[in-house]
Amino acid sequence: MTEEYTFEGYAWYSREFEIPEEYLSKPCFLYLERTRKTTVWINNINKGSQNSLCTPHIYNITGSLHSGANTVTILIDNTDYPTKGGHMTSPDTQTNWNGITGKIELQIYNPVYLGDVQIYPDIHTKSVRIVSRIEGADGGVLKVSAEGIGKENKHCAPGKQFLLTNNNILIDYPLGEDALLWCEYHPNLYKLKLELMRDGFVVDNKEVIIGLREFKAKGDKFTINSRKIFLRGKHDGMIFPETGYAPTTVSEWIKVFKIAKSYGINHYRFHTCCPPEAAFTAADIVGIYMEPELPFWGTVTDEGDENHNKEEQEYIVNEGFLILKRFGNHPSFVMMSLGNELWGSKERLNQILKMYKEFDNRHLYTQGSNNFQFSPVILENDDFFCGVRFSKERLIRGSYAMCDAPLGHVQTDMPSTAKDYDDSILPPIQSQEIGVDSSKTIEVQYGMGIKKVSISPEDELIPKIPVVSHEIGQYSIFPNYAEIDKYKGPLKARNFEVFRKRLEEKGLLDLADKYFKCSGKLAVSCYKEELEAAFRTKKLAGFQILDIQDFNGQGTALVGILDSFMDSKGLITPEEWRTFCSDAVLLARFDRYNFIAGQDFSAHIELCYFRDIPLNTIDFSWTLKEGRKTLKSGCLNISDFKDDNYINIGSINFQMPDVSVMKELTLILRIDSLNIWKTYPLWVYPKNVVLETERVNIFDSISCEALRLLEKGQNILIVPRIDRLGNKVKGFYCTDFWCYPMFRSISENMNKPLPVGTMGLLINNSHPVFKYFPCKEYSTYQWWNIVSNSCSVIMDETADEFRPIIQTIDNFERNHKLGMLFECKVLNGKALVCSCDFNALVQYPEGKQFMFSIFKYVQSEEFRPEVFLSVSDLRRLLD
Amino acid sequence: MLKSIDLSGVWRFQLDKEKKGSDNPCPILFICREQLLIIKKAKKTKSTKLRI
Repeated sequence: MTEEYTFEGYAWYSREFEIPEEYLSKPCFLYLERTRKTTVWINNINKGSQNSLCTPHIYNITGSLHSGANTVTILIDNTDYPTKGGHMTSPDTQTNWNGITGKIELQIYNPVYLGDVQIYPDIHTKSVRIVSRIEGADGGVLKVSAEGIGKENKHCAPGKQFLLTNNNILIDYPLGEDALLWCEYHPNLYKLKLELMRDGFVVDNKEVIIGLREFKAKGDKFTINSRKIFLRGKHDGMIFPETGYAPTTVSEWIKVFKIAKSYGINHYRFHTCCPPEAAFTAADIVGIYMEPELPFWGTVTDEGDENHNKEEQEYIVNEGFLILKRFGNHPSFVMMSLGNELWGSKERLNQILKMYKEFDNRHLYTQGSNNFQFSPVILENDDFFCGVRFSKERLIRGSYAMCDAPLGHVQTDMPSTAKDYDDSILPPIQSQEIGVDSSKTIEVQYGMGIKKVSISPEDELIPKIPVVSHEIGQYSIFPNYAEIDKYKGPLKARNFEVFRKRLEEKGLLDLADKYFKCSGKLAVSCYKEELEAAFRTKKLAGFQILDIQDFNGQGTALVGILDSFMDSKGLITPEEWRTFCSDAVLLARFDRYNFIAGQDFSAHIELCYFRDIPLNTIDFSWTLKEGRKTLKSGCLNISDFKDDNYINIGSINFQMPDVSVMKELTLILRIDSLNIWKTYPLWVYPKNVVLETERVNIFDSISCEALRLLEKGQNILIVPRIDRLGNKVKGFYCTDFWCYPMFRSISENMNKPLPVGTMGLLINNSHPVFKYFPCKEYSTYQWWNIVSNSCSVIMDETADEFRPIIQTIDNFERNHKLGMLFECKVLNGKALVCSCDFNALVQYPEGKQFMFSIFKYVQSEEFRPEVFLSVSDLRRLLD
Repeated sequence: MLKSIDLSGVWRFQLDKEKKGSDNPCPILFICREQLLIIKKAKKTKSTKLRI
């Protein structure tokens, strides 16, 4: 995203106002809900400066107003913050705007009034502890009452009066035995009314929206009100491209959360930012577990540490206290993180955690998200751990950037549904394996750059607190250029315009929509594989996906099934997404997707279940279908569960049908009583496929014999040795991680291997070459072994109309035309080129079937390439 | 709280890239309300009165 007009500097805002005479002598505060660094003048008298990025600026202007016109002038500076501010100020997300969002108001009080009010719920006594302070006097009477709000909560708590003898308020107010608790399923809220009375008159009143809830860590899971939950989290950088800033109205946030919830999300982790109050209020209403994060992405230091910036460090810590004080009453505010990918003093981090925990025990705390990267630690005061690995090899997510290799199982492993992270979280044999050599300096990714850090081996890290996998996914999708017109606000999709122009210059613009849809389908399947692995992992407490929504900064990371406006890209429906991202996920564990006819198929069926409705019995059914035709089916009924959350339903076993031609089948799992289902595609290939090699002229280069045959008008198949091809991109099934330009650049700077950077296949699947190898237009698991034993030829120099039969979709930076299978007329003959390793392919049923289909095609009348290539052009391609 | 008085509405506004002016308020040139959008428009519409 690009701001149409950027402004970083000092902006002055001023207006006149009048207030009724009777308020002139009262305590008065100027309230600026959300802003940058401010300095305020009232009637030309300086009232001070404030700099919180996360919480309101509140100026005491008591006694500064007079009758008639008053002038308020505010200088807002969006430069030189005490800290960089992460996604509170980043141009990558909500932009570094200048101004004030939300409420701008004068708040006037009686001379005696209630100060800050903090509410501490206790679900065991069904009461709340009210902590506040009387300003302007000592003592009084506090009348307290509470009534349920919303459709579900009609409960009212009886009013009660408390005699106060000094200005400190600390009282416990019972809501009653039948008070309702707050959770994601039943976000029951109460309006707590406080009336401060003196001498029989109400001098102040306050209403606070509260929820009775207890959010705890218990073993490897979080609990809400003593019930275990699993966090299905979403990263959020507060991306609102229509305005360039986070909304401050509850209705706008409700809309956002409801969309997220329709995709199974129950948790928001705000990356280096804290949302406005409206977001917490909306999350209270919708039922979302919120985790704001301090606006810090750097190194935490203490006095005496190298490069210690006292002002910045104090600012960050204070910002945390302000967040807790301002938003801590919201029941949805359950967790807090000290920052993103922090380094520095572990002692100081531990101290900060301790201070926050002592200050506010309503939330759980973590030292940060993915701190210390390759060498994470768990601190004494950590309530939970959020990261991507426990050592270099103990990985807990499916994909990584090349500079952070080793890569993840979704990127490197032959597809199966067997992967989980339990052994990575808790190794069965706790070895001394540590991912790094003894004490040394290594380079790590640090934001969008790199950083040198010293690490030393420590004992193997065994978590005894809940583990949340950090920023999982990041599967890249080609841009949808139709989105450009949606940017009608201050932000423009200049990035998209640049990418589109590059594609146009390569003569491929007409394929943009297919690139988008095919890469999108691949990304969806990668997300499915990764999310299922998370749901299979019994020792995981949750995940934070990056993201269901596009992230338009940091090089442009189009990783969402929703665009940056939270609108669907049309790649998958919420209902289908929820089959692998919800509170009840049916899972089949099996070791591969491709089978030979008659082979045994075996799968273990599990249910990951975190709904709040206890299960008594499970009636599970399965069917194996070819199109609409049911081939096999069965059911399992169980009623005795050892575990309430990870339920072993049983095994299904059957023999694959004895097909004479290749078939794609669908395994459907279902529990109707829970209204959940799941589908897996399976491929079955005929037995005894005979490759008619002797009937096909196969060459690995354009040899003299090949030319002779072409001259004679014959057909040839060229299968170049992929290790000898120079003009190529390596075959890589998984779509690119995050975005190519960013991690290409980081890898280059770290002198590490570059990412492959491709985004799956675009297949002309109606082409007759696929007569015996039917397929979709996009990558599916029948292609995994084929792609992994292939490369794609860079065909940029060929005519625009020359399109490979199988294209590999390149990223938006390079926009290469990449061909894995293409055909052409040469001399008087015809050539089909397939840049796969046939010696490897023949070992797999799907590879052999693909070769079979190719061989049949080359011999057929249907082999009729349209484009002519000269011998020299073809040689250039295959050099 | 006894009373809140909404101060959103019409504000005078001026950009000042150079002068932080911590002692005295800067003279104000023109009027706006929606700060973020207006700031971005401001460079094109300098000295134009805007009312949102």
